[in-house]
Amino acid sequence: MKFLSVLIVSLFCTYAFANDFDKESPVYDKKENKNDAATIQKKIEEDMTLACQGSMCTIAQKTTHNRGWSITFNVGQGGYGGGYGYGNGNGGGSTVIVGDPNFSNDPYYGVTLRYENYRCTSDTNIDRTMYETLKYYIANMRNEDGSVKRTFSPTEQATILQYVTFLSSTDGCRSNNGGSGGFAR
Amino acid sequence: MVLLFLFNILISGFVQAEPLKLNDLHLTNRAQCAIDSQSPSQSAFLILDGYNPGRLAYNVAKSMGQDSDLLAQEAMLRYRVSVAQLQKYIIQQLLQKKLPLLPYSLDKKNLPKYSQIAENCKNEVYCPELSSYLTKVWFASQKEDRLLSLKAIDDFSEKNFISGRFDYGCYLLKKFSPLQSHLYGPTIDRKGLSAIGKALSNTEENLVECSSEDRSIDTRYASFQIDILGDTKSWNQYGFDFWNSIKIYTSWAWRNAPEIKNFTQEFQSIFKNLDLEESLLYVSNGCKSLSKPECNSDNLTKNSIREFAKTQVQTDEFDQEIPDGPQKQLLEKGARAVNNDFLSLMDYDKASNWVENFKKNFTNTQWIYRNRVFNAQQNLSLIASQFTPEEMIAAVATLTQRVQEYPSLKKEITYLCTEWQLSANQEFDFIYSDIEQIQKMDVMNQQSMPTGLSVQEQIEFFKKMSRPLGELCRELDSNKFFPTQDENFNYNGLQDWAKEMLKKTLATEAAPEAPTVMSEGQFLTVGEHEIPICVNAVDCSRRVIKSAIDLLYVSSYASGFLSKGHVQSSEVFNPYNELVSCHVYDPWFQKSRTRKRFVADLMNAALFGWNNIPAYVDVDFVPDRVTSFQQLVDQSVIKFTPEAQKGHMVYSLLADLGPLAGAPCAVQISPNADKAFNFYAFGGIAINACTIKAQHDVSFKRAKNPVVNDPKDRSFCGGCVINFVGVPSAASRVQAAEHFNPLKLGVYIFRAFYRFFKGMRDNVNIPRTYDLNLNQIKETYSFYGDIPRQCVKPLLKGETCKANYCESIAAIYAEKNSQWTVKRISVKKVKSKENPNLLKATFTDEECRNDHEIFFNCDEKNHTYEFFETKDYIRNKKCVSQKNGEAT
Repeated sequence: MKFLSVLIVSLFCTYAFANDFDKESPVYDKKENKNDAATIQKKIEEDMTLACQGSMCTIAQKTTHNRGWSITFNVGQGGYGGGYGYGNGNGGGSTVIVGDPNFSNDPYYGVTLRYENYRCTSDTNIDRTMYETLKYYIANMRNEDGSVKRTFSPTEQATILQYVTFLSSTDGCRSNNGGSGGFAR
Repeated sequence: MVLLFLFNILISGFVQAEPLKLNDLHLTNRAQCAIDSQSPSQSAFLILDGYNPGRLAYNVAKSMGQDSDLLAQEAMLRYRVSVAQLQKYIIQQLLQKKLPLLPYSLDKKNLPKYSQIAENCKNEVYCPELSSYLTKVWFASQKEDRLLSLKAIDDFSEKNFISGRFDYGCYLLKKFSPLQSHLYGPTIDRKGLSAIGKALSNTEENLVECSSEDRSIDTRYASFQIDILGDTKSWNQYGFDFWNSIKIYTSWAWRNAPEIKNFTQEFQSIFKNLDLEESLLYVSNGCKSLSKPECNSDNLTKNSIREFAKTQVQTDEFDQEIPDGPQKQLLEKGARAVNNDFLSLMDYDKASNWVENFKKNFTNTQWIYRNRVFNAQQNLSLIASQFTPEEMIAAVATLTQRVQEYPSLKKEITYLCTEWQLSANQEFDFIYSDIEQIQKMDVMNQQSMPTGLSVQEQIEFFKKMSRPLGELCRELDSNKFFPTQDENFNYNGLQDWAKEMLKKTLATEAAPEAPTVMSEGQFLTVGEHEIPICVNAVDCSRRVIKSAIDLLYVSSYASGFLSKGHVQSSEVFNPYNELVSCHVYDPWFQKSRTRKRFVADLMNAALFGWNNIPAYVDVDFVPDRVTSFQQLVDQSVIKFTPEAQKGHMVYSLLADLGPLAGAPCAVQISPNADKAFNFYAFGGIAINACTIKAQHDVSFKRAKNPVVNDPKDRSFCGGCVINFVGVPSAASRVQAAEHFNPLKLGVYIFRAFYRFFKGMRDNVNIPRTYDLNLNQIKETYSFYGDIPRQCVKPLLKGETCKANYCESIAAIYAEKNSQWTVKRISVKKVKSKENPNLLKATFTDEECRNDHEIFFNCDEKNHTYEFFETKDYIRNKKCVSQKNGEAT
């Protein structure tokens, strides 16, 4: 029985090796041409059905997701400073401490244990025509065999620059609110 | 040992007989400074650089074999004095209603002829039409029937003259001193007031009359302070017109007014030809402005030279190949601190050293701008004189056929097409529309030189060349002309500006590549000696593009560096001039927000405070937030229209679980805000949890200028207080069954007032102002020998100080002769047979718990005093610390 099982395993292995070597190496295979104009156009149209709504299409999306615990200690005495922005806690953020040090010079203390689950999605949307053109150029940055080019033409350089410009405009979420963000600060 | 002090008011009075003519010091915090920036200033600095007369006199003396250093010094001194005298003369003429005001706003209803001429001449005083108009006005204003004579020139009336009584003061600053305290801080303490008092009693250390011939003061770099004294409300009507008139009349009078001979004396003939406008700059002394703040390229650019007034220039904006422009810098730097001596005036021993640093930084950059304009002009004019744009590109097309023969040409053509893509391809429009805009800018068209192409023609040549070049590049692309990955090509040979644009996407090295020399020789040479301009047609085309980039570079800050034909002014001390006019900062927001929140909190108290409904609605307000600027050319100046996320109300519903669950806990739902959890607690332990969801989108309808959409935020929070008790919870539980809950109501009302007063105590964003009357400070300082503690509040309010003389003298004496700061002081009479007038002053130091005593004689009526303590005796007294009771 033991022998039989070894034999079966051996047979499978042999079959597997034989099967791999029977085929040509994938590295040196000539892939079928998947980057012809018709394929590119079809792919762009498929993309647009997903990415576009009305006249605008989403070219980039950034999702920020932070969650975790933090602990804040407040110990001090008196004192109040203005600083930048619109006062302390732009969104009216800080916990109202009754008997606040601003009203007296008494020492104060407090501990806040905080859990936060923050999710922000930031989309960069561009005009439909712009999207189509950009996607077309990007698709053409591949060689005919589907691999990415290593040297880009002047047009491609400009396309990449524009794409990067769009990406760098993708908003950084928290900074955009003009408010406090978070809670109990 | 008895030390005798005899106080004499007369001795410590002013040395100068002439009273100082300076305005009150107007101390402001950030919000008030921002508000002030919209009003005309009553005080200005005039910055002067005597380099041009110095250099001219030096060269003249050298050519005549005279002492060149001596003559240069003399010329610079005379220049300083004559500019000051001219200033005084024009100010007098305007304030005495002899010269009419020239309006800053060119309105056809007010002086239609002037408006038309100034518009045609772009305010350039060299312009013959404007110069001739000013000549007529100047001479008519000197006649007895001046209004009648002026009416013959234009539609002049009484309205065009200053009404009301105004006086002026003009001083040459030796150093920046406490007399400019409003530039160093938003408020001032006793020591600051004392420093002002001291400065006022030794004015000759800090300033002299502005036309002083004092040779000990630097003759090249000078800073004058001009103050207009009079009613502020009336001044607000005329201020901007006044400073506009001063600048225009000064420029004109320097070359044309007959009176100038009296000022320039023997130097008249050489001074007349100097570029006065280049060596003068008006700077507002404080937060108010010299010209009406507007959100346009002219105003933003002029103010951006503020960077050069800093000890260290803190921006690389001027080093970039393609600067971002002042509008982007405005957003990047945003709201910032002000009136904190951010220009480091107090770091310089002499005012002239600060001016020197400022002018050197400024001039270095100015020369870069001039060189770039000159290079662009030279290259484009030479190329355009030999080829049409079409001929040039046809020559490039020919070269594309010769890449087998000259393989390096292929690289150069690739660089050319990349540079075209970046600068001229309208499909991407990285900078094309910015280059196009140059044609419409007055300040750029003024840069055109007498020979060669005008700036407008230069840009036109670039645009005409870019069309066939684009066609050629597209054709080459479709023919797969450009290097493939097998050719080991990199973009190292791109020009620096293109490398800078591509730095995020393409790693290139600084490796300049010489253009390919063709067998037929240089493509374009000039002169008998055949000086090469372009090696081949590709080289020439790239030079055209580079020249357009140079013009773009210059256009970003041209109003600041290359303004011609009129004297400039800049609001270097107040960045809020442009921050307010471009709506980036709203000085009233915090006040309005605090008031609105107060009303909302009171409504909460009315709705939920008295009953047992465990909820309240927390309301807050978010200001407008400018995300970008739209640029439009209006009246030959680029106007910036802010694109802003609208300010809005954010609200949260907070439910207190205390009455329901019996725990000091609460939950908060904020449907339109990423909102902080706002649960009340005594100082203690709190546990909070929040889940926040946000959606922030950016949209591009054009390739440039993203529109940042209003964010969609929402949050849900919960929290409990472990230590101590959540007040509303407890309050609610006390009388949960009752309808009326007085404790809870009290807490709600307390909260409303607490938040209101806390909001209004914002010393940065709620407008605050102090007007310090210099005469009162001077009198107080002279009277007491210092500023008594009791006088600080009245002086800050601009009121006269009536502090007890003997108390004040004792406190000042104690502080001057010890290291202590007097917190409280009381003076009592002591029974003494030997000295029936003996007084005892008992004072406490801020740090000490124990009292100290000083014995002295003092006459409240005659203001004389005599102390019977030695300095040593006071110094050796022990201080028992308030904290631990130890003697030190």
